[in-house]
Amino acid sequence: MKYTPGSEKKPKKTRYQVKVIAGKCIGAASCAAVASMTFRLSNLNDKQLAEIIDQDGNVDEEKLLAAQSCPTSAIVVYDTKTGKKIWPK
Amino acid sequence: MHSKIISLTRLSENYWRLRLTKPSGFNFQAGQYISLLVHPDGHRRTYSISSPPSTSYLDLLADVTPMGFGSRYILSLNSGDTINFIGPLGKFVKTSDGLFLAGGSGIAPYLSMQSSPILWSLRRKSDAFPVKHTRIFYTRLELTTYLKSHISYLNFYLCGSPSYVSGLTKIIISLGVDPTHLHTEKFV
Repeated sequence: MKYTPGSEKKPKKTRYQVKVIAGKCIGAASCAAVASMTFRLSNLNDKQLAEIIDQDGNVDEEKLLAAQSCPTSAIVVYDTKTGKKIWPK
Repeated sequence: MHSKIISLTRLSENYWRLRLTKPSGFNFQAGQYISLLVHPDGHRRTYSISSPPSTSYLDLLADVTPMGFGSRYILSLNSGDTINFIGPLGKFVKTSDGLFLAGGSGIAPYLSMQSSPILWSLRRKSDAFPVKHTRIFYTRLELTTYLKSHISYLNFYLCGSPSYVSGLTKIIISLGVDPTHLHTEKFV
């Protein structure tokens, strides 16, 4: 599996959809490091939390890796083709 | 990216040093971390690199106290095993001199930066291991008292758990430090 931090090739339309569970997020920023075109940290009530800037900012593989890198499993990944949640398992 | 375990060294009751082969072309800045695959299901955990960029190997510092996916994986490893990771990741790099505060394994990036002085907060005496130019604290009160009399630094680096970083940030700002001179890194 080839990993490119923040793919420069912006995909037209990705299959995986990501969602951040704010109550679980601790602002560790792994997601923003792995998929920087999809996630960023922003200030919310004095806390730095992950937010989605573009669902199609990174390729599916990078979005899934970003979710898997989250130490608190605060990112949920859905496969829009099957409608099923694929992460966390 | 793949790497092989060169050695696992127990530094104290719960702290281990993993020495890995450095993949060719792997360049990082002191203070960065990797995301290690710790379970076949895809679970990953982040570990800061504790060796300086100039070394021919990579050291990771792991606190196995939580005994979750990451701890169990670390303790299952043996010399010669192959590990899978992505990185380097993160932007917690040294931009200037200052005072370096670490909670637990948050000391790892400072070891890579070869920075000092370090104020190291630990839960237990049995977690300590020798690190040069480091003062160890076992209570928040002890650390706060020390900080009040050593607040003359311009820049502060904080690395540790979210509660450690947010708690210390409030204390340091209350002592009059400009928030723009605080550099923080949180991890679990």
